[in-house]
Amino acid sequence: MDALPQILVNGLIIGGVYALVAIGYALVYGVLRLINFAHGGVFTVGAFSALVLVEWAHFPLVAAVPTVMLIGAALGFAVERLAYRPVRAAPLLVQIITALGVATIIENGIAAIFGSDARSLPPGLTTSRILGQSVGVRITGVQLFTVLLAIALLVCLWWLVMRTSVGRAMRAVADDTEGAQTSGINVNKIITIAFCVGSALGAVAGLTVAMDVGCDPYMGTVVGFKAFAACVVGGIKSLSGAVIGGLMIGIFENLVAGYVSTEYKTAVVMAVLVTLLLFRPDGLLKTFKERAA
Amino acid sequence: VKKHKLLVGIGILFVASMLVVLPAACNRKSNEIVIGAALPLTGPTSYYGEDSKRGIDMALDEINAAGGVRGRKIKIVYEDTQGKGNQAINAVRKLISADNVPAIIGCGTSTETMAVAPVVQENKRVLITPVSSAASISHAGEYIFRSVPSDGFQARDLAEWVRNLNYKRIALIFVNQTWGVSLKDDFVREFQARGGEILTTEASDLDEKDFRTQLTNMKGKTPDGFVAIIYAKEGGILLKQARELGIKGQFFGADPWTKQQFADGAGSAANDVLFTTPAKYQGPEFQTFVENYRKRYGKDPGIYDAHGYDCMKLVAKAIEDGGITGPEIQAAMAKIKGFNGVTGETTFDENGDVTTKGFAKMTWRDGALQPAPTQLATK
Repeated sequence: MDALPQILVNGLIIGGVYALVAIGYALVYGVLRLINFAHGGVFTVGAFSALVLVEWAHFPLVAAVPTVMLIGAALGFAVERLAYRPVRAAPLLVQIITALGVATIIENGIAAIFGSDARSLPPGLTTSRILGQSVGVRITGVQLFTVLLAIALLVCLWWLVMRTSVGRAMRAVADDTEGAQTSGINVNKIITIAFCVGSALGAVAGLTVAMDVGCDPYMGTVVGFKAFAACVVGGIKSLSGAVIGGLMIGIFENLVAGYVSTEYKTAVVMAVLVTLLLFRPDGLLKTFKERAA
Repeated sequence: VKKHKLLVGIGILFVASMLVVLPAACNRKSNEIVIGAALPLTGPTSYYGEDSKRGIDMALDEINAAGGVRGRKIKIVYEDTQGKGNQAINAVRKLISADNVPAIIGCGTSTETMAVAPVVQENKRVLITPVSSAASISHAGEYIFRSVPSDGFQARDLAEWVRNLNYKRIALIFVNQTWGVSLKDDFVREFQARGGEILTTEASDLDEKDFRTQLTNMKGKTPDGFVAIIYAKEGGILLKQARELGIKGQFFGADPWTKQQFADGAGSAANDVLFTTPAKYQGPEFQTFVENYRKRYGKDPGIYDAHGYDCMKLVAKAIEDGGITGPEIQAAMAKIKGFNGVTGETTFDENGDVTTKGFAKMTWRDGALQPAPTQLATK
């Protein structure tokens, strides 16, 4: 049996999750030049919100998705207001420490409330029919849902950024914050929106992973780390770069696991990414754009 | 004005530091013997720490209620190791330098225990672990003991079992840290020595939850059966994903799969998996322990509750027999023979390993942990 299609599909699905999370890093970095280390925590909160909503409040999935996104957005809003805005004028180091502090508080807060054990969502929602058996690729309902949801959200995001006035303002702030301010854009409002949108996407990524493999308070660390790497590889300010970077890491790490070594999977992936950055320090997309120009 | 502020600042700092230092200083003056415990109380393997702690606390209260040892009460200081080697080193250093404990119960994962072994050796403090089973710990030093049997023995029993059921060609997956690598290596050696063939060994990271690509590789080799040396909740997820990928073969595993998290993660995929685990001793000491445990915690004890309990009792016995310094406790501990605890008889060999406890064969069926049927279909 040729394993390649299955490996590519596995990689594409986890890559979609990385992409959703990576966008959160890119959005915030774009408008604020800040690496939001708390973003992995938002992902975890999304997963646990899904657990609470579905298992305890018996929300149907269609209602859980927007609710989790709202919770994520609210968390992003709160983090920006309470933690980042007070130190925005402070040196970069202070902002980084603040970000790490927020990440620690979120992670341990969840551990304190829910305990540090792993939890699974009720099986009624997570075990579903196996699809695609005929073409030699197996995909569960949850995985298919993950992919479709990621595509739908990315289309919405593209529309928001490229086709609305808020999106235009966001791009303007990312390009030149002071210039945007002098031309009458409310920069604070745009920063808040960037946090809310990024966090909503990060939280919903948490929901999909919780449905697939359950959740634990530390789940955001690894995904956050890989999504951040995806974002850097894609060109940290570029949203499409974050998506491509996410898919690339997801697929690449599964290819390495499938054909090279599962033991050194993460090491191999990271070594290749570092090499890539040596030749393309601004990430993939930046270079493409510059070439085109 | 500035000078005034500075003085107030220094004053506050002084008072604050006294508040921190004084309790520690008082500790030392009191008549209690202070013992340390370095266990994973948070993190992905926190169940090891939480279970052991319940057993330790229970044994401690019994010891102190009976008058303590050498006429003195025992006090225990807990430090969290988070399942990580570097955190475990921090925890053990703190217990040695700040609390000056002569003996430490810990750690949880074998990674932690291997990481702290040089530290306790250098400082001549006794370390006794209720959980860590990696075979490599046997040679970590004379100050390191354990109440759980070494995986060297588990690997042998598991390999023998798999071969006796006539599985010959095996695909294996293991968690890529001390416990997993050590048990994998031993299993592969024992299995090959019995004429078995290992088709592939796939690794997974400690916090990995997506095993689909590894499973795809394993399935591609068309083995007779599968061996997964993976922790509890990850093992459950692995089983579920294996069934989703259409893998129907028999899965074998090891001791973490006794945990409820395994069955929760696997759902119906947990049915009929086969795994070995340190045998639960069923003698009278254990029956009394179960009764008292139920009264205290309102549920049944797991295997690591019992080992935590025995570790505390073993430390108390070694202090009673030997003395209150690390080397005295070490010498007394090494001489312990035929100690009847709630996990069975403890006799240490020259490596601080217990040779008197066996392994049981277990399975899950409809959410219930059960002994594996003695008559199993052979391959």
